[in-house]
Amino acid sequence: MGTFHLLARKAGRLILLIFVVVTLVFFVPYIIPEGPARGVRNSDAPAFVRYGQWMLGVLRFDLGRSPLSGEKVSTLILRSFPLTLGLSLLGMGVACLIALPLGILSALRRRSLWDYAGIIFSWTVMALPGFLLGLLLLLVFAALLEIFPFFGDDAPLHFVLPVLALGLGHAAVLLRVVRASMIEELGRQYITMAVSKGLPDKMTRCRHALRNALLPVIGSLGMQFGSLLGGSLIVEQVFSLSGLGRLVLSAVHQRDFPVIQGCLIFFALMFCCLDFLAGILYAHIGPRTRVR
Amino acid sequence: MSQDVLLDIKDLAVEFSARRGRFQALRGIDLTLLPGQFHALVGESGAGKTVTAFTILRLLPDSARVVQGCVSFQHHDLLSMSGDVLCNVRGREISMIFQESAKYLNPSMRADRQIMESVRFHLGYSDKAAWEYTRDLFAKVGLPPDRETLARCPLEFSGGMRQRLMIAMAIACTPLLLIADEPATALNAGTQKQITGLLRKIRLESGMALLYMTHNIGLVRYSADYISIIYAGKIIESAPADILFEEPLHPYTRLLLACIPGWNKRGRRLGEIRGASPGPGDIPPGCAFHPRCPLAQPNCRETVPPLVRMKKAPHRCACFYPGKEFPQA
Repeated sequence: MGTFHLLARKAGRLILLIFVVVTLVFFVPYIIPEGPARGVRNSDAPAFVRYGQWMLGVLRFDLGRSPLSGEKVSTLILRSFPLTLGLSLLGMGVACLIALPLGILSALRRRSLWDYAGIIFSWTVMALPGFLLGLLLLLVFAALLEIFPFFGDDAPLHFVLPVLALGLGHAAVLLRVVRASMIEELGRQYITMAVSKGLPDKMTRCRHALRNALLPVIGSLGMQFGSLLGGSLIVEQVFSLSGLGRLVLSAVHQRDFPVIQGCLIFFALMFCCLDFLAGILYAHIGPRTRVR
Repeated sequence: MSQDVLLDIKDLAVEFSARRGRFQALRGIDLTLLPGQFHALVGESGAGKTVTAFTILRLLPDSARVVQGCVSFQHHDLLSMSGDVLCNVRGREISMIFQESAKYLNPSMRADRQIMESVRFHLGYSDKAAWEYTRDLFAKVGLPPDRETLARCPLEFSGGMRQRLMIAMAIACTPLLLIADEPATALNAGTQKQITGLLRKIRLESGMALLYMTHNIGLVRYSADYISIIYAGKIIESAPADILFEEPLHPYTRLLLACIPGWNKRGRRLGEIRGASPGPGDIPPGCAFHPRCPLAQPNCRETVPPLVRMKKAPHRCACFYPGKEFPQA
């Protein structure tokens, strides 16, 4: 079966990639100038033994303990992860909800009011750095209008502004990708064929072009998820949410290496898995070509 | 003509606007198609065959403009038709198949769905009925009518199969006219004959008229009822096929026919026409063929010869010296 081999190959690559990342992360305490391994620590054990111990630990999900709080790194990560994941997914959801309809509309009605509004939105938001967007939202909606609260992470209302801060930025980028991809597909010859079949114009063009136009969008989303995760770092800091991003930031500030390493592996793992899923989705939706 | 004309194009002129300026793609097309007729439009690349085809169904891009002329289908003016009425003509009364099947078929939509959407819209079939109808269409055009093939995407088909798929799509709603824009050009010689043969067979079975664009006059020699020759955006000769081959009048046609390779010309040099066809941007004044014509006279450079009826009607020719002997070189 062709699909099975494809999946197996992709899964194999995924595992290899994670292995490489874990190995690289192993070297972090030795490379960074202020790393604890620079000095004397388990220095009697030879390199590959330490590496072996490290690998075994990772495989058992044992990433060591934080020298500051004494807690297990894996516990810390698993406690903070749901918030970050939720934030990232919701942020992506908001980005799609804004960018997809607007992008498609922009492409179908070029040079209309919608199109110009979308372009202005894109350029403005893309010019703003993430933390500035977050602070602006806080200023307008929390301080001035007093609709949303400033800080906290128990009530759903607390998450509206952070999700917006994260999502708007990505919506701006995604909008341009959707629009460009849709315009390109709408110009293709198979659209001419579809029109020549006498099917009602706008709907047909949209329907035919959409599936093909979404392929680069999925690719872009896959890549953006990485920066979504990174962006959540900033947003968590601005809105004081105790997610994975905040954990990593404070670990960096405090030179808590086990936590840094654990988070690095975790982020890499998430990103690789999402890329894998995006690849599968792409293979499923995309055009199937003849295997000669 | 006592018979009811199916498609009548009169003095059609189409202009394109490009950055360099405007240029004439069609400078006066006169074409008449009768019901059930196999009418071949023969011309080189860039002569205006595709533009003519696209103009009939109004598929031209926004940069194109019909400057003059009219296109009437069953006495209805196609050029001024509203969008809604046009939707009922396209795909239902007039269908089109294109040259490069790979580009003109949606790569990520299943083959059967692409046919079914047309059938469901125009004929109102249910999902199940449409699928069965599609399966029968597949068999009709020579594609394997099994579930697996129907579910494939166009790029999983070979070139010849894709062209058959396009034909199936076009004849799905039994149109009165099928416009075929060089359907066999991108295929190898054997497949070319198959596709042309398939179109002929379908035509004979359904009585559908066929407007077949090609640059290969030899391909339609024995299948076409009527042939029109197009050169630099203008029809320069038009006659029933047998009359055209027996007694070509326009110098271009005569030179063209002499170029057809044939087994009875073995051992002799391949014929050629000196010079190159003018592109839409640099069409010579007067008769567009005069720079390459062995019969050219000063008046050919000044006036555009009109397409006029010859003594042996319905033969029409646009030349001041039709049928004149070529000077011995």
